[in-house]
Amino acid sequence: MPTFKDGDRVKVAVTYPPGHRRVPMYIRGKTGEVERYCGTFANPEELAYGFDGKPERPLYRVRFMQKDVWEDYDGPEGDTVDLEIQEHWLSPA
Amino acid sequence: MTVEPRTHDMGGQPAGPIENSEHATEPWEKLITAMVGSLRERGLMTVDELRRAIEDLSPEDYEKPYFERWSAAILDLWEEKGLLTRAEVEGKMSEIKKRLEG
Repeated sequence: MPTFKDGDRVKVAVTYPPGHRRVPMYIRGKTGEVERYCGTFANPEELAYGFDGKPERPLYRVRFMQKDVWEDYDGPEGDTVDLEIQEHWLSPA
Repeated sequence: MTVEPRTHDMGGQPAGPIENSEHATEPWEKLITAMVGSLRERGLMTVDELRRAIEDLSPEDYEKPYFERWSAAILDLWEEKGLLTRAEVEGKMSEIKKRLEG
């Protein structure tokens, strides 16, 4: 069962584990809103090393305001960026 | 302290113009694509492993064209998995080259 529901505010973890990670640097530590729950998926961070990635983990599409992501963002106020992030990278904000 | 992103993690960096012209696909590029499909189907490789191996290429190799990155990464994975060595693959390549030059 997913921990977060649509509309929940979530913060992306600021950690730097080595190896194949599916969360780009620019979004670590940023806060966004769950746009939708996408279902559960094997963890690609383990599939990348030949493991089965089980148990499957909840995946969310998280929407961030561009102005929250880039301090010098000069595009339209309402611009957003969506990233699909697995639950182990997220905490309530 | 700032932790620098790795080579492939380029979100937010200056990017320059997008090159959107059409490229003809070389026959070897199609072969590589077919081989990746075959390796996946036989459970010898996942796309996640391929992606990881591409990310682990040296920054110089990472600058190479798309399918050259694939080839280099697949070769690394074969060695890692004990399927084929680089020397075996390169040996076969020169053998074929010699035959074609015949």
